[in-house]
Amino acid sequence: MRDLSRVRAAILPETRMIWLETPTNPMLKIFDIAAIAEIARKAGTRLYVDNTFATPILQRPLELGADVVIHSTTKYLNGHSDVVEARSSRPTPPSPSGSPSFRTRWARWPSPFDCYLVLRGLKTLGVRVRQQCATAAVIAERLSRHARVKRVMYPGLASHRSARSPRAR
Amino acid sequence: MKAPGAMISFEIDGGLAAAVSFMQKLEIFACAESSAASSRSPITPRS
Repeated sequence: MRDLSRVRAAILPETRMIWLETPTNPMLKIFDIAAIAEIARKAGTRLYVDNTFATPILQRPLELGADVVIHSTTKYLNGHSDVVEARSSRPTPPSPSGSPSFRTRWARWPSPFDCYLVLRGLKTLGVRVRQQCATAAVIAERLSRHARVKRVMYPGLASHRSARSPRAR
Repeated sequence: MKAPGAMISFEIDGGLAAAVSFMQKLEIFACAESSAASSRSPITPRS
């Protein structure tokens, strides 16, 4: 995904969706959402971005041109390890004619209590993410100097490939 | 991204055996069945 020419080459006439996870799990590679969104737009396909690891605090794919953003609310958004849930968002609501059928057949509706738990977590999301970023930076730096650690993947380290790619940030 | 985030991956010298030994010695962190948990949850490449 870093090589945009390979992204363009991978799009086939029948391609309907580009699925992008950034940062990736577990290698924490970061990709240029805006550039890939532009490729998707020109190809007439849609870009879906899994934004779970970044959270909306650090990255807003819809503002960068993505068509749909996915979050596993189980993780940062809830933040208390007591919900298993995911959400998708897009700039415009689904069409009334097509959406109910899809939702009825495929989607899982969260319970009101699960929604309450996630809303509770969202109230502290900003504070948690900022502190977790600060803590992770210290841990990553210490790990990178440890004799028994061969390699550390953390975008905040100068040794991380994504740290040297300004557009990816 | 506005900041590097809070996820870290690292590779321990000594391969899988060393990684398993490391995880078994953790005291504060609890192993998770997957990366679904949001607490301090180390996962192995086999998870």
